[in-house]
Amino acid sequence: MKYTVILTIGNLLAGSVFAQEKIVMKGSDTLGAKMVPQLKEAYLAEGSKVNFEIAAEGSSQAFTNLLAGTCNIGMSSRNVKDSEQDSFTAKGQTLIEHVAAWDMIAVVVNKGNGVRGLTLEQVGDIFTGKITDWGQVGGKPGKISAYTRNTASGTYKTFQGLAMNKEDYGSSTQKMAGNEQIATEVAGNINGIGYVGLAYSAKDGLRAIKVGGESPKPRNKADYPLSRKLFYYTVGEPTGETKKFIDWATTSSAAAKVIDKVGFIPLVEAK
Amino acid sequence: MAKHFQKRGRRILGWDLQDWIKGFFGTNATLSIVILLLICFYLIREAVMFFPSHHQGLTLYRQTGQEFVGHLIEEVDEHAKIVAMTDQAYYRELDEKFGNERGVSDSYEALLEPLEDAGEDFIDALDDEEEGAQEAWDTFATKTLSKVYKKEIDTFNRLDDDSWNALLASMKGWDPLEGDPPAFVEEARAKMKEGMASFELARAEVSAADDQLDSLRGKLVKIASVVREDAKAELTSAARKIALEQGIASTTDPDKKAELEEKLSEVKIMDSFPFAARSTPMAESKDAHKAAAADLKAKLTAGVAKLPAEFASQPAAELIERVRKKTPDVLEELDESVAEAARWRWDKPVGYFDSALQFFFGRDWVTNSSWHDFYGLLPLFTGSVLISCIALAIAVPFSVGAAIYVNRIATRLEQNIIKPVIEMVQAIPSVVLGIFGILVLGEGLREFSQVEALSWIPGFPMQERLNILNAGLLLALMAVPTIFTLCEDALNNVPRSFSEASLALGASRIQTVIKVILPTAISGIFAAILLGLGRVIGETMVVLLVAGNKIAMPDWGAGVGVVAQPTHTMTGIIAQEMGEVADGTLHWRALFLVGLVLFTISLCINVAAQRIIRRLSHL
Repeated sequence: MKYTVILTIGNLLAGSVFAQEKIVMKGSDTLGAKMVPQLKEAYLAEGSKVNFEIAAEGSSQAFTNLLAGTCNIGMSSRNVKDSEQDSFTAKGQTLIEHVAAWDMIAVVVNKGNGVRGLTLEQVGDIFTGKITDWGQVGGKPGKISAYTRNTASGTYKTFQGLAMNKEDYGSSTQKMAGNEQIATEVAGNINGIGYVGLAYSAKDGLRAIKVGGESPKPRNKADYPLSRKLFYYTVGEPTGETKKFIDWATTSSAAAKVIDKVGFIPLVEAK
Repeated sequence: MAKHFQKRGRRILGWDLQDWIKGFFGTNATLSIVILLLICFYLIREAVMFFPSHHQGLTLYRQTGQEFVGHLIEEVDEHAKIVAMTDQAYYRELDEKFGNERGVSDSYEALLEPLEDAGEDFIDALDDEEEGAQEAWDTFATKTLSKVYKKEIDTFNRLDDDSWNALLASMKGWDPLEGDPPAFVEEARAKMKEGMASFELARAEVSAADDQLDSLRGKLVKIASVVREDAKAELTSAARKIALEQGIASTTDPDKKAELEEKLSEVKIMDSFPFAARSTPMAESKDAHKAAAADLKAKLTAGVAKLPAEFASQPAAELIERVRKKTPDVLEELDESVAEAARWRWDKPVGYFDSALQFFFGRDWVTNSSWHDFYGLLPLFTGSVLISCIALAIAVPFSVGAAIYVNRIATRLEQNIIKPVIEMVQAIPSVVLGIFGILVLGEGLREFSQVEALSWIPGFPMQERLNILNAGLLLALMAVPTIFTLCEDALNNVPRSFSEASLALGASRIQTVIKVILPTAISGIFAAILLGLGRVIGETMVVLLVAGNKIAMPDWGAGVGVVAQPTHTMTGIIAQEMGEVADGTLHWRALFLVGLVLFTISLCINVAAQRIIRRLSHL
């Protein structure tokens, strides 16, 4: 009896040692919720035998996990912060940045709301709480409900930098856990406004409005005021399976096709 | 049985079986007490450490001059509220007077969307002066315009059919390269402009009244931000130096070592940051601030006086009435704020007591800010209390009523059904209840609140489905089993002789319950309610999912309708933000302090309930 237990434990240990190679990816919800899982599927379909583990809880998690050594690739929708960089320096490690794709943050309103476009300043003022009523920006009068991501999200910070002149979010904004939740709330609330990754703006009942006269469309990525890059981060130059995957995901046209399909803008042309 | 234990068996390490069993349970008990004490110690240590760090943060806020600029920011925000009301009034009036013209103007913009987006290739062809491009464009434009629905373009149905058709007709010769609106649209716009000219003028004046103050604010925000960054960099430079030194020690690569050493040489550690010199721009702006405020005052008063007195639209008239009423208040607050700002000095020490008060009574909870983090408990505390009150207000009558019924009136069969069913509610995981709250209860409540006939109920129609009422209802459901079970115990504890005596004297069953049983058990019932409150105030998952996560003081102006507003809670904020804060930062400690406040509240509730129950048992 005793020996059986020991044998079983031994087997489990051995099993984990000899398992297939595994790529652990953690970080941004923007990347990890749709794009990376679909890239993974496409990558595996091409015959790779690697195991994936993907967790998407916000960009900050990418760096804490990379630092702790609990993931191979960190996904982030913002650049690394200086303070985060410092912790890597302290351990004698270098953080390498790989551009994964372009993303455009779409500002979405309810379709029943007549507003079709706002200036960047108006968008900023809505989220800082200076504009509180749709009547002020030409829509049907009603108290604006502004939905934002929560503070763990890279989009939260990026949007603050891009649209709000780094000012603080107004106290009347509501913090939601993810893109999907914002899309759902805005689609259900005629006075709602929120921002989501481009991939989520196609939901029924939503309208992605023009910002500063530019609509959020891939061809406008250079002009649209709310576009940004998405990143993979690794500790040191990637090697082995991690390198193979990152190379494939950033340069192959098959990957570009997937990225395009989920609504982001690939670095290379999708064929 | 005792004999069995006394039987001496094999001794292991000098202990026999009996000793081992005793030792096992003894260790367990001791260990759990030790762990509990450690948790308490850790919680209290981390939480208490908040106060010195918070004090330090506030001191920095003052020293960098941000505190001074903070007054300007607030003043500009107050002015923005007046502008907001004026703007709303303006557009309402515009809609009322020139709805058709506005419809033409907006619909024209909306029509451009399909033309410009889908017609991009045609426009490119026109631009390149390709052959046949004009014909291709014309066909495309005619086809597109024939396919648009009025409902989609003219969302608010401002246009009558004639104007709609006239607009479509006027679009026929529209030139995509020039992009000028057709004459029909221009006419409508000119008419609007002329009709609203005087209002527009006054509105612009109201809106521009803070120009001087706002530009001063913008200038000072920039300066103070740089001072803050520099001061922070210096405060953290010691830590950065240590990090770099560790890095140099741990790397073996000579190139990298050189790189790090170069960085290390760049890190400067000064003994004291020159706050006095760096905050001079702020100190020297006091007069400019006064002047800007006086300018705002004069211009705003003049602008408000110029606002029209007669309105076609009732809501516009009401809004302007409110503007007229509110302006003196805003100006009075402005004077106070300016006086307060004038008292700012970078080296005035921040009181420890004040900094603690700012935590407990602060109205802002702003974290992860690039300006300044504010930690004010009040909005979170209010949210928790409001939700708990609603939950109890709903749960108490139900659970106490159910307990009395089951304990005193129900038949055995009913008892056997009701009790397990109520207690089973406790088995529902709170995250499941939360999802139910979002998808079913929230959506249902909102739909229900849209019914025209119910619009007299305060807070109806609800705009948000995630709100205080929704969370309160779900928590009520969670509190019912707790209160019910404890209440029933309390009723059971009433000695049989009491009810028998009452019945023997000829009282009916109902009379016995109301006049004898309830007064006897009242303290037990009260204890049950308190424990229910403890259950509700500590609940996390449901409020995180359902309360709407808006960190702001409720708008009390809505009266009872306040329950339709979203809010945030003490438990929710910990769950939401704990995952992303770095250990030992001010934010981390603030969350621990919120935890300690919660712990204290729960402890007090439990102690109170225990006391009441103990008093009852002496009966």
